[in-house]
Amino acid sequence: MFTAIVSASTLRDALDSVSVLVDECKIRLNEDELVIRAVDPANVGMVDLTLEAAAFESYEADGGVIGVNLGRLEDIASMADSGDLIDLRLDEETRKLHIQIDGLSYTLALIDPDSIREEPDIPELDLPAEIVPEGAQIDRGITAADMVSDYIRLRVDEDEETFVIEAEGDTDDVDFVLEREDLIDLSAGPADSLFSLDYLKDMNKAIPNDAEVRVELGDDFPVKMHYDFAEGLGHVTFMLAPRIQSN
Amino acid sequence: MRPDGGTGDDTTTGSLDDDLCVTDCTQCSRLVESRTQIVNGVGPTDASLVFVGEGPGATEDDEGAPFVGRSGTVLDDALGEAGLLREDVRITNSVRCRPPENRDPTSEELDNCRGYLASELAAVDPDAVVALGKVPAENLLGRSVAVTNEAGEVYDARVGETSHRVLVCVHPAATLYDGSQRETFASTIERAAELAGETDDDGSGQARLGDW
Repeated sequence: MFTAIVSASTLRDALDSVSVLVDECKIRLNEDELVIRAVDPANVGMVDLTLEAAAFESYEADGGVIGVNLGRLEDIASMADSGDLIDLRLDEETRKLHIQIDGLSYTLALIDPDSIREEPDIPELDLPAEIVPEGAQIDRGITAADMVSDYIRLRVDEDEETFVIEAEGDTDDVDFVLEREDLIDLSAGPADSLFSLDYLKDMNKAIPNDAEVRVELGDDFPVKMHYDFAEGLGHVTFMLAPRIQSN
Repeated sequence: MRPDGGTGDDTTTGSLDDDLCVTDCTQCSRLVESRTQIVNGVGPTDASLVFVGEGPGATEDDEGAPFVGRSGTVLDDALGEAGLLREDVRITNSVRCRPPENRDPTSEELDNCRGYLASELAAVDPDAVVALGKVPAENLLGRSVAVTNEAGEVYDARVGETSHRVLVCVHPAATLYDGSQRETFASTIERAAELAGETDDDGSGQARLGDW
């Protein structure tokens, strides 16, 4: 059983953070929250999303799992204005999701959840540095790095207590230094890892500019980025495996 | 009567490999005319990697097995360099009958044959499917693919009822006309080995979340 009413902007923000990594996903319709966990096919980037029942206008679920084609669901959600409400209702017999938006009815055929790639286990990592910038600062660093390279280096300078975003191109370099006072928070530790910009650019698309992003970082370790949406009732964690630096 | 596409241990009747072999199909009239025999997939039915080509060429049509001509030698060499044996992977095609004068299969022919490929992939359920060239990549992903640019990229693709990880790869023959494709081909096969869990590192420097 699943029926819910949710604002179009909340649903879109949730779907966007998953669709940057996968085309299809399982949605767990728990009693008190909706959960999506997915890893991209190359096993490099992962998303773990929770949307609390309170983020919905109304929400009733009993722990079922549905499989959806994210592109189709996003297409339907794009038919709504951001203030519109979207009404979702699962038909258990036909395994279809009935979606209503301001007089528009859409019946979405669901995918057998067993035919979707397994959800990832979340690696247990205790990362030594934690940096909390705003989404806009991450966006600025990624945009600049993308001008010169396919890779981006994220590191913490423990002595200077700064968060440094760097990219080295064949000819040009980019260096973006955020000092403690520029950041919402910084707890310094040994952290220096290189990442593929392709993935970070995609993840960045989903991160709101005004979000507080809690970044956990280590030395040649995956990065974790946590942020909230839907007025603090939606939670996203992105995790991205590093490129191992040869020197 | 099926072409000799099976592995040595498939002597029992009704084996999975038998089920995956098409012995009699006349859906594509022009291919029925041009083929000598139907060329089915070969290799273990529990392989962790399935390679999908475009369709049989002259040698394959003659011998009844996929990738046995010059392209097959290129593929075998790259598999060896990546620490894989041909005997350990399954190799099949987007269409199982040789098109006349080696033309590309038509979209209708690909559609006619897709059910056989979907059943084969669903039954083998590999860790990754490697699309060898533009035709199989487009056939599996259902969109146009710039193979040279996308070689080495992994996508989820729904083929029939099941979803598979599809690795885009240049066609082995591309390395024969264009030496610059050799490295692309070799590194993509190395990535395939890594996706199948046969090696820990594909040489790209990219770590995987499964490493933690």
